[in-house]
This record gives sequence, structure tokens and C-alpha cells, in this order.
Amino acid sequence: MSTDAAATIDLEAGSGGPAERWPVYQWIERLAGWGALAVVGVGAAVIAGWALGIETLKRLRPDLVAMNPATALCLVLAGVSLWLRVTPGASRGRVALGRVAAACVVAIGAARLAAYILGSEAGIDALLTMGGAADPTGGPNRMAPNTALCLMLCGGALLTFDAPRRWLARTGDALAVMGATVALLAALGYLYHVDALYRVGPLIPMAVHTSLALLALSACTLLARPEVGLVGIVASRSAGGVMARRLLPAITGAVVLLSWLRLEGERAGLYEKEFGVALMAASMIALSVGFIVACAARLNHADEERAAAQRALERVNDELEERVQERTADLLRSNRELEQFAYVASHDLQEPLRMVGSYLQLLERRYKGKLDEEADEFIAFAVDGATRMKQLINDLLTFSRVGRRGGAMSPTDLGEAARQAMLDLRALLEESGAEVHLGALPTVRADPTQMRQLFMNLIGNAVKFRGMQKPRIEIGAERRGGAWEVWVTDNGIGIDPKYAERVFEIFQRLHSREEYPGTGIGLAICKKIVERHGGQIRVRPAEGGGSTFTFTLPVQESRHDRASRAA
Amino acid sequence: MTGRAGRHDPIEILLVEDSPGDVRLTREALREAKVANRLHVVGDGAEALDFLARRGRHAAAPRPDLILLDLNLPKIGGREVLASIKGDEDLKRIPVIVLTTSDAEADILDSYGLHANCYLVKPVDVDRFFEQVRTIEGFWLSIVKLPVASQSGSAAA
Repeated sequence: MSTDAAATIDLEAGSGGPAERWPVYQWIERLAGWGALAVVGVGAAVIAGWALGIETLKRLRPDLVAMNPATALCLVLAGVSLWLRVTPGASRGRVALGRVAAACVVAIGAARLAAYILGSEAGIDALLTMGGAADPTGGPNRMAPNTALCLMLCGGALLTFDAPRRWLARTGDALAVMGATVALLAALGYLYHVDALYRVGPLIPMAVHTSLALLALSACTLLARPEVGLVGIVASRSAGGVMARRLLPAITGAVVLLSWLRLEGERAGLYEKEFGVALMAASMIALSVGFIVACAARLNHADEERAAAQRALERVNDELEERVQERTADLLRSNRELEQFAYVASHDLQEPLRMVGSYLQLLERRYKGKLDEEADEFIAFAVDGATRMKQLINDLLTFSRVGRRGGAMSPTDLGEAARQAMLDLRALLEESGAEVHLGALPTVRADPTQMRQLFMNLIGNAVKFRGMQKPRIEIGAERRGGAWEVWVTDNGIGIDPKYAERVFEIFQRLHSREEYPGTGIGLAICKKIVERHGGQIRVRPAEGGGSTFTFTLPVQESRHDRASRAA
Repeated sequence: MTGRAGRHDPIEILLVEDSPGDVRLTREALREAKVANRLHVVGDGAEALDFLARRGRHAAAPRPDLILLDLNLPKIGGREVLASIKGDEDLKRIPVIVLTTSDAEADILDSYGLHANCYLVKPVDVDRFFEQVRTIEGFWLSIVKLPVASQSGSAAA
């Protein structure tokens, strides 16, 4: 939790504040900042009062106890520590300074408390009273024990800021709450004239402005981290936060005010104790009921709005889902239609082409040498054209079949598919003297026939586009995250990287038919096969010339893998 | 009608084919064949059935010794023609060779399911087509021993 808060602060320091931050957090931080400054101000004023001998600053009223200068110093230190923490721009130096200040406060408070326990008169407060005028209590001015305790608690809370552990941050909250309780008791003691609340036994009491300053200090320490802990609940943008922000100040204020009124009325003799209690009970009930009903009404309203918004959202979601499904179905249909079209077109083109080719051949067969030389040449060109067109149409048919007539996916041993492809290419491999090194290949979920075709095309290409040396082909695989990466590397003529995309397009060729025969379908089929299996294929230059074709295929997940990941 | 009983009579072949180009190619191929043959050509399935039943202008048609059947035909398709022939007690003995451009698995399965005697895909190359026709002729007309044709279908042997 505290690390989250720290991260937010860092982000703020770096980018000038994230745009979407809940504004209440910012208000609370600002409030804590102003509170810290006020605490520093009170402390500084009292120190000035001691230095310049201004009694009003020291004790507010002549009959009240003065704030000890050590207490004032602690207030300044704690206020500065808090202020450094809540204002943006947390540098390492500021954090360190804040910690040192907080540690000093803890040390002074602890020293004073220890002195009380040990019965010692020594202490920094004794040094700082500058000769110290006697107080109305008669004794020398000291830091009161409850003040020392409260300062220690607040300093401790300030030290837990930026603690990496959650329990430490929670401890900080607890310390601040305890400190606030001590200060609040003292403040209420002054408000209700209850001596025992601001004074411990016969010892020197906490000064009235000390109690108010400590109350502000501990409250602002709590508020300094609005996103976590107790304040996190109150500051939350959820319904609970809204309710807490409304009820807490109202009810706290009402309780303090009503109690004071009751007490003052009783003391003035306006009514008896029993009457006062009844009056207070009645007014508390009335006020609480009023607050709670108003709050409940608001929450109900918010909840209804939220429910309506959720219904609207669900409706929109449903519509969107429906539209996505429709669009997907449309796409699938149009894709199927396109493949069907390619198939039908190429199939129906075959018929007339067969006629053209057959009769041209018949013409060649019957009349070769009987017409003049030019006629023979024309016929030869026509036969060649028809033969090439036949090849193109066949390739187109094969290409359209990859998607249209793809077989079922089953666990396929890629090593076996590659060996099958090498068997199919045996004549070519033997004739060219090619060496094929087949590494370990995985078993994937795939269409076995198409895997065999894929290897056949890649190995066939590697041999076809060989250079001066004997073809050397290496096939291997490596697992990369959720996919297998399979490569086929050759030592052939290579492919210029600027054509690395183009070679996979249908009927795209980089060489003339005289150099290398073919229609330019092989790699387009490879690409289609790989994409049908949810993978990608690309080519890059191999080390020392040649090319490396790499394709990816998703790793086949066993049922066990899936189950363990879902858990 | 004596069919092939007398070895000197020409073989009667019925070609069911709607493409004149293919008809001519088949005719050319058969012209180079060894066995004397007479080629009868009908252009659609309905006419093929008329020929076999000797209806209308085919009243004087001979009973074919061999039927070469294309699958893609106008009016009545090749499959129906095949089904009619193989559903007829008498005609079912005539060997039917499906000769088509389709190499679709479904067509092949359907044809054998309807008791076609064999299924051949027309080669695109004319030399191979001639070779194929010669093979048909050599196998079905010279090697295979077929029942002697009869009109009733019960007077065989």
C-alpha cells in the first residue's frame, strides 16, 4: 500500500501529476500541507515569545500554563517534516531532512518522558526555558508528560512514512491516532474545564495551544497519505468514502458542540443534570437520524444511478458483442466466398485452357514441319504460353485449397513432416548433392499434410536457389515464450532484405524464368499455411550468405498446462 | 444384336459428352486405336438415356459395349445417368467409365458409390490424353472379358 503511494508521488514529481487523480486526494494533501505550516507557525510564535519575552505568545492568557520552548521547537521540527512530506517534489535530500527532523522530535519526547520516569530534572526543556519564569503552577516550566508522549507518537508516525512494509505504514496510522487521542483529550479538557484531561497527576499540564497544535499535527500526519490506511477509506471515491466524508465532521462537530452546550447550561444553572442528559440524548438522536437519513438518501440515489448506468453499459456491451459477432460472421463468409471464387474461377478457367492447349498440341503433333518455320515458332510460343497458364492456374488452385480444404489439426511431429518432405524431394536432393542437417523439432498441433508441404517448399527453395557450392541446409527449432520458432537456413544466393516482404506475395518473383523457373507461388503458400496455424513467417539473410526462413507455431498446450494456469 | 460376339464387328462406344472439343479429341484418339470401333456421341444426359432406351431418333441405336461418361452434363447430369444405367437390370452390365475433368474427392466417391466401373480424370496434356484413351481401349476392349450382350439381360452365355 505504502509503495503504491510512493509510486504515485514519484509519478507526480516526474510528470507534474497524473491527469486522472481523484481530486479529493489532492485537497486532503493540501489541507495537510496547510496544517503543517500552521503547526510550524504556532511553534515559531512561541519560540519568538520566549526569546522576546512576550507572555501572550507563550501562554495566551496570564492564568494559563506557557508552552515549553522545547515543545515549540518540536512542533516546528515535526511541522517541517510533515510539510516536506506532503508537498510535491520529493527529492532524496528532502526525505532525509524530514526523517532527521522526525527523529529529533522522537528523541526529545523520549528523553523528557524518561526524565519523568526516572525523576530527573535534567532535559533539553530545562536548558531552553532561558531562566524560565515560574508558571501559575508554581514549578519550573517543563514539557508536560502527555505532550512528550504525543510528540513521540507523532514523530514515530512521521518516521514510518515511505516504509516499504505494509504493517509499518499501518503502525504509523495507529501512532498518529493515539497521538490525536492524547491531544484531543487535552483540548476537550480545556473546552470542558476538566483539569485531569490535560494534566497528568501533580505534574505540569499541557498548554492549551500545545494541545490544539498537537491535535492539528497528528490529524495532518494521518491525512498526509490520503490514498492508504484509515484516511484511504474516508477519502475513497466509493460510496463508503462519500458517506464517511459527510458523517464524520457532522457527527464529531455535533457531539463536541452539544456536550459543551449541555455542560455550560448545567454550570450556569439553567437545568439539572438529568434534564441536560435527556436534552443531549434527544438532540443527538435527532441530529444523527437527520444526518444518517440524508446520507442514506444520497447513497440510495447514487446506487440507483449506478445500477442504471450498469444496465445501460450491459445493453451497450450486448449490442457491441452482437455486432462483433455479425461482423465476424460477415468476414468469415466473405473470406469463404473469396476462396470459393478463386477455386471456381481457376477450375472453370482450366476447361477452356485445356481446349487451347490440347488443340495446339494436336496442331504441333500433326503439322510440325509441314508448315513453314515461322508457323512452327508461333505454335511453340502458343504452346509455351498455354503450359505456363496451366501452371499458374494449378498454383492458384493449390493456394486456394490451403484455406478452403485444409485438413484437421492434430498433434504433428514436425521432424516427421520434414523427413517426409525430404523423401518427396529425394530426387532433387540427390541430384544436387544437397546436405540437410535436421535438428530436433517439436510436436505441435497442426495439419500434417500442410506441414509436410511447408517443409517441401522451404527445402525445395533452398536447393533451387543454390549458389556455386553444394547446397547445405540446416533445420532447427527453439522455444520462444508461447511459440516454437522453426528455421530453415541455406547457403544459397540469399534474398536482398528489401524484398523480404515481397517474396511471400503470390506470383512475385525476384528472378527471370530463364534464371529460375517457377510461378512464385511456393512462399505464398508457405505464408498462408503458417498463418492458418496462427504463426508468422519471415526471412532474413543467413550468416555467410544464404537465407534463413523462420516460422513460428503456437506451442501445443496440454490439458494439464491449461488447468494449472487457470488455477 | 450380337455385340462383341463376333470379333470382327466394330466395338460400339457411347460417348456422353457436351463439349465438342472433347468429343473431337476423343474421336481423334480412338482413330489411332487398334481395335475397330464405332463412336456414338450424345450431348446431354437425357439424350444418353434415350439412346440406351432406343427412344425417339435413337430408335435404331445399337447397344453400346462401353460407355464413356462425363459428369458435368446439361439437362440430366452424369450422376443421374450413371444411377439409371446401374439401376437397370439389363444395362448395368455395360461397363461405364467416368471420364471427367473433376478430381474432387466427392465426385470420385459418388461415382464409385453408383457402381461406375472406373473413374478417370482427363489429362490436360494431349499426348497423355491419347495415351489414356489407348489404355482404356486396350484394357476394356481387348483384355477384359465381358458378358455377351443381350437385350433381355437374361439370355447371357
